Amino acid sequence: MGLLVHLRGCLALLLMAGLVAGGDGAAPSAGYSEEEIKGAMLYNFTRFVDWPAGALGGEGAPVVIGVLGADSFIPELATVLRGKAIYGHPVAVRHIERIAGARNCAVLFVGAAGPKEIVRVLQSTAGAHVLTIGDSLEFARLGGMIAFIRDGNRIRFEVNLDAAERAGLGMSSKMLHLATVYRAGPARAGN
Amino acid sequence: MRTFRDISIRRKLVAINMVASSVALSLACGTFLAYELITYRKSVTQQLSTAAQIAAQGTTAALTFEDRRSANETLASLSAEPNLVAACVYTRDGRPFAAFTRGESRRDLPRHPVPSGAMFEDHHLLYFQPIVFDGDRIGTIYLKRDLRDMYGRLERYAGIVLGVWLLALLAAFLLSSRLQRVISEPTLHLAEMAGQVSAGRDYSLRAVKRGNDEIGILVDSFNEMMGQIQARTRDLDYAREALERHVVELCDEIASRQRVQDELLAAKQAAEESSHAKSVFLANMSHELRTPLNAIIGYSEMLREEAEEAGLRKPVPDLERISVAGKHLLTLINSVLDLSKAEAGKTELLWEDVTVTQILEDAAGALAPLARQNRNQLNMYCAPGVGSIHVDVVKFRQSLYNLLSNACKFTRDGTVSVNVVPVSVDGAAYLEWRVTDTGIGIAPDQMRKLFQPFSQGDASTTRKYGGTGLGLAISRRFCELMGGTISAASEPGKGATFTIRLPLAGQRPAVAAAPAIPPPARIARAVEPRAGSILVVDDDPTVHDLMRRTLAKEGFDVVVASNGEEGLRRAREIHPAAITLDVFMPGMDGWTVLGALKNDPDVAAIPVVLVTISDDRQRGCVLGAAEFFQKPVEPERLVEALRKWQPEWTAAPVLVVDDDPASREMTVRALRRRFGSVIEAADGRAALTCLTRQKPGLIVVDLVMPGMDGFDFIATLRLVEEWRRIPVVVLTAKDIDRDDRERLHGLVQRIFRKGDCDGVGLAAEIADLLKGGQACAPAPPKCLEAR
Repeated sequence: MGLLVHLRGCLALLLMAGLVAGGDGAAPSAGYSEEEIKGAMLYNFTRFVDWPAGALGGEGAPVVIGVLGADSFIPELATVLRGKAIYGHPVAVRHIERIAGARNCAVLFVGAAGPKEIVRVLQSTAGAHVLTIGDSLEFARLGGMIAFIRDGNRIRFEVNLDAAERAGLGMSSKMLHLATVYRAGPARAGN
Repeated sequence: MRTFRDISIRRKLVAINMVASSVALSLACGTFLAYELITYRKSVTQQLSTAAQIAAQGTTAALTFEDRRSANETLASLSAEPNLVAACVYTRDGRPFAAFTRGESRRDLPRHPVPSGAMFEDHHLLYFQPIVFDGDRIGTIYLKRDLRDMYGRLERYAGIVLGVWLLALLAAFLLSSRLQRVISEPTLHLAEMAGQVSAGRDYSLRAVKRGNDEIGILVDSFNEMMGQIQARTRDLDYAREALERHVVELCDEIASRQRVQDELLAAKQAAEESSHAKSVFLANMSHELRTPLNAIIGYSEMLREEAEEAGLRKPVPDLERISVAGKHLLTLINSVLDLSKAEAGKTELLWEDVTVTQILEDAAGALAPLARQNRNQLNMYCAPGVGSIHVDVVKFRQSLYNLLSNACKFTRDGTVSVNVVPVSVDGAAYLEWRVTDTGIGIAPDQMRKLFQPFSQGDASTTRKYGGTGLGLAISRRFCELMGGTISAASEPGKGATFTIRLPLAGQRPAVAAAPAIPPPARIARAVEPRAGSILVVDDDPTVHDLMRRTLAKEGFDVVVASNGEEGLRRAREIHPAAITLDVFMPGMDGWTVLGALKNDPDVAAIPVVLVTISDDRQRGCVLGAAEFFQKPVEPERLVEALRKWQPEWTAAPVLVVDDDPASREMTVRALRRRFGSVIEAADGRAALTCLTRQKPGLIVVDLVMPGMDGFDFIATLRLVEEWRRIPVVVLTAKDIDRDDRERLHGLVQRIFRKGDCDGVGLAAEIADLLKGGQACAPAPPKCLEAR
């Protein structure tokens, strides 16, 4: 068990290092499942995103990470998040069954879904301080904040800065450096 | 570099003489020369001053009338003095007025006069003299005289003085060189002697005395000192030899002590290592032994039940023997582990408050069957005013039950009683629990060994009465840990009294008490048990037993009442799913009970099944009975009838997480009977995957598993809100220590140790737990000891 915990810690560190230094994204072939890697990346996103003061609730209030339409992701995410904290808050994983419940999360992970569904979900979270992360290629282009995209063997991510700004969330330039940045209007690509 | 201090005394004496002589001579010569110089300077200055005054007089007018020629003439008259080299007259405002020079340029004259006075400058004497006329200074005269003649003379003097000085020093040197021997020779002799002594350590040498002066005294003192040193050295040599012998002895002793210390250290280390190894061994043993034993006991019981159901009579007694032997082995293992833990100081106490009445009621309930076996009467008495005690409830209960079960075992057709009385010893308040029996008693020679491990009365006792022979030893350890004592008194043939004495609340034993961890919070009613409870109202205890066995196996909770009044009361309390009712009972009969039930709107809806030897089916139906069975009843038919009123099992399945397939299968089977659908997983990870597919109503989890273990699984589970409310029950063979308890605190509802409950018991306790009822009292310890 100890070894396993250690491995998970290493995984998180490994991904951090990847995020800050290489920007190559993470390869699922490194002995971890794609879902484990996405879970670790999701946790790392939360460390580079600033929520407005008070948006995460008072001291001791849990940061709720909602999972919509990706039930099998829940155990992986919970395993990665075991023993972790986000800005000092404990973490809770919530299975979101109805779109209406998505607004009350700090982070919302939306599993692979069609454009119509994605738009509906994003409409429901509009105006709330919810970091939306999607597992669909066009998630960021449809107004989501971070989309996981596959680049050959690697998992990278695309960021929609306008969407994050609209929700009042700040994203660290360190993270943007590694991402493909999407802006509505004249699209421009990050590095 | 050798300093003066270091050179030989001979040279020192010469040097001192030379220095003294040269200083004296120098002083004399110097004084002479200085006197000559001063005297000569004075006379020269006087001469010049006179000349200046004369010249001043001579030039006063010339100045007054500004007659340069006159002034020049006056000055020229000074040329008679051969040593005068320059003369000049200055006006009132300091301009040269007239001048005379000899052998030097006029330009060398001072441009301005300085205040009056004589100045020696570079072999010349300069003299300025104011020219005063009528009290008014009208000018200055300047004269410069060559002093070479004077210095020439002085040099000649100096040469003579130096010659005298050298001659005098030479004489002094020669004289002192000869005369110093008077002092230096005896001194050098003494020094040589001292040097020889210090170099050769020969304290028999003596210096030769030459006179009676101070050096002579010194020689005497030296010789005397030498004598003393000689004597002391001799003594010292003796002492040193003795000391050396002693030191050798000491060294030997130190070496031997060091050896002993090393051996002791090694032994200590070995002991610590073995103690640690023992702890680890104990922890592993508890898990590794209980897991397979649990399977043996569980499966033999299942097999027995299945054999009975299939009508196979023959293997039943054998299977029973396996089960009994397995249970005995488990008891023995538990006892040995308990005792080892206590001996190793690894026992952890969990302090709780509990009422004396509660303990006595539980004890009466747990020991009643054993008491009945030997037809003993069980009496409980508690002195008034005794409320609650602060103890480790489980360990105290185990100790008390042990005494009680012993008493019951060794007494036939007698009385076993418990008296709880407060006593005061040396001002401290104690509570005494006296367990008295009227049995065979204990022989005096057995009394001594009573609390020793493995010391039953004699070997035959074990065969006759069973037990491991560890119970009393463990009880004593536990009582001592809780700050109390345990003692025994007996008269063979008349019975025995065992007394546990525990300090009353407020007094903590010296043993560091573990902070009491509150029991896990009760959970909301999350799962309805599949079967509701059945109330059995009958005055015949054998019917109680029979019904209990038949129905419990089918997953029913059975509650019994021995008469009509009790039946009514229990029905109102627990609202059972159904009631089985006997008709002919002393006191209130079944008809009356049935009528009362149907007239009470609160319980009227509960179906009542009449089970009676009466055949008055008609009357039963009129009164509202749902079914009528005439004794003897076929169990299958009764169960079939009762099933109709079982509440629907609508909730989710039970998830069993255990890596040991045999254990898991056993738990699954036991729970399937009661809860219906059961799903299984071999480790935490697999269980999490199961959870995403189907949300269970309850999770039973083992702690020690490869991959994701129980602790991590539970921690992960509680992160997900949807799963947070699923009740979790831990079922493990691991010995739960304080750390484990803290890790699981607030996360799980109950912790069961494998082997402590059989399958049906486990299911019943879990059902009980889920109903939010009283969390089941710890099962009475199965280590019922013999003495």
